[in-house]
Amino acid sequence: MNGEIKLGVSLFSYSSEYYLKMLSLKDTLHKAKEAGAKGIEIVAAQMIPGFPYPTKAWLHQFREACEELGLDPFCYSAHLDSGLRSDRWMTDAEKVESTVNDIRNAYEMGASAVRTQQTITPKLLYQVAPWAERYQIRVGVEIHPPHRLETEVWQEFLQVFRDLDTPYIGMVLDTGIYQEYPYDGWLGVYREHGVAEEICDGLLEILRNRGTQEEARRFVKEHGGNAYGMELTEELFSLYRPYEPDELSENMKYVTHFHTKFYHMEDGNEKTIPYEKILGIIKNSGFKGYLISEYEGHYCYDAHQYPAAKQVKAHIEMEKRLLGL
Amino acid sequence: MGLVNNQKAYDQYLLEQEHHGNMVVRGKPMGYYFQIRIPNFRGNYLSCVEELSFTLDGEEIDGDAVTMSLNEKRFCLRELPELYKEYWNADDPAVIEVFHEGGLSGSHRIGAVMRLRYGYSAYFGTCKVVTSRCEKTFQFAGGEEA
Repeated sequence: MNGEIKLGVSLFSYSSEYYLKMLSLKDTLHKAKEAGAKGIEIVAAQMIPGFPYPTKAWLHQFREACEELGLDPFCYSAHLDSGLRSDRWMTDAEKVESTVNDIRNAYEMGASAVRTQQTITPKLLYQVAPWAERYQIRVGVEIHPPHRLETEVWQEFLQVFRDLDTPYIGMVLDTGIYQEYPYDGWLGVYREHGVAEEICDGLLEILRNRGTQEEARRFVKEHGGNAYGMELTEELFSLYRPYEPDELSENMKYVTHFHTKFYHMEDGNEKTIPYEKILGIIKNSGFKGYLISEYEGHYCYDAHQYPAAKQVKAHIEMEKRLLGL
Repeated sequence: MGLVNNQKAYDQYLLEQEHHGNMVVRGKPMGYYFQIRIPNFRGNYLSCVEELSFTLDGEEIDGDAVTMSLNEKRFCLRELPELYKEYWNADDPAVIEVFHEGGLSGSHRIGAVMRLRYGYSAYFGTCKVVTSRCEKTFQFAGGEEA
């Protein structure tokens, strides 16, 4: 029995309903509660009024709204908009300042973690670490597709985590990096743009059999695929591959939390990400912390037909089942 | 840039059909207004709007005749690239006002194109820039045109 793994949800999961004003921020908290979540992650650039300069009063109210429902305002999810200016990139000093601003906002919100992004660069973590330690906020750099742990910059991040060896600097691991196949809604968009069923099926078959991208390109040409067919090939092979074991278990101590990404729950399962394997590794490692469900199917699936709340609930139930919670 | 991405899903919301009408100055219709929303799940800095252009019944609208109001301020389109401290929340519609002598009456087709830069999405050394397009028919009343 492992009572140390906790479950939560990113309010990003409710993006469509929130944007369309079908759900208010408070409604999303109620939906999270009903789904069985404990921890809450909020994307600051999406849902925090006054961002990037929210008032303390708003942050305190958000904390209270969570606590009233017995929820933990666990993570302030930051984007590091290093290209926000038209004339130049952010300087290193500005990147650090932006991250310190995130840490301070997170602190007021009662959060214990900040999600930041790889645009922070490995070397700047040495400057962020003292701030994370002062505020006792864990700063996690998110590893997200198209990156994987073996990607060069992630090898550099891991080296910095080992070197700093502090619980306050680590990574948020998005399980999307283990996505094996596209979800049907994604393929559906290509079908709508004239990519034949046999081309979609053939490409999936090549991917499943660990064929090469070259082989896939040839297949599409031979079958008279259009430009979207070629685009599908490039996307498919840069984003997906059948599961291959990596260094996750050895680096579990640097994981601040997981984004358990999913696109579509059907019959209690998410078929594109090998959850049985990944959750098995997490459980066996003795990981203590949050798995934050992150529904991303809202880009392709209609919110009226597939409400995010139902999808999240099904996902949390799957996690409980696979973890034996 | 693939067909499936987080912007495309929101393109249809770039133009809002509620809250539009004629701009009346000293009793005379001097132009028209309508609302737009940021076509993405999250907000963005106004400096990241790389292009914002409109058409009326298929004809390009002169950008110099257009202003955009947001956060209780009114901006000229030319100012946008400098506004890196002005955040456009995804919840908030911006009001577009167009000077157009006599205003509009009846049914008109408005088109909008927005190129938005994603300052955080810089995986390969350049920022992702996404073009969103939207076109909708609006019914106007009170203009002086025939």
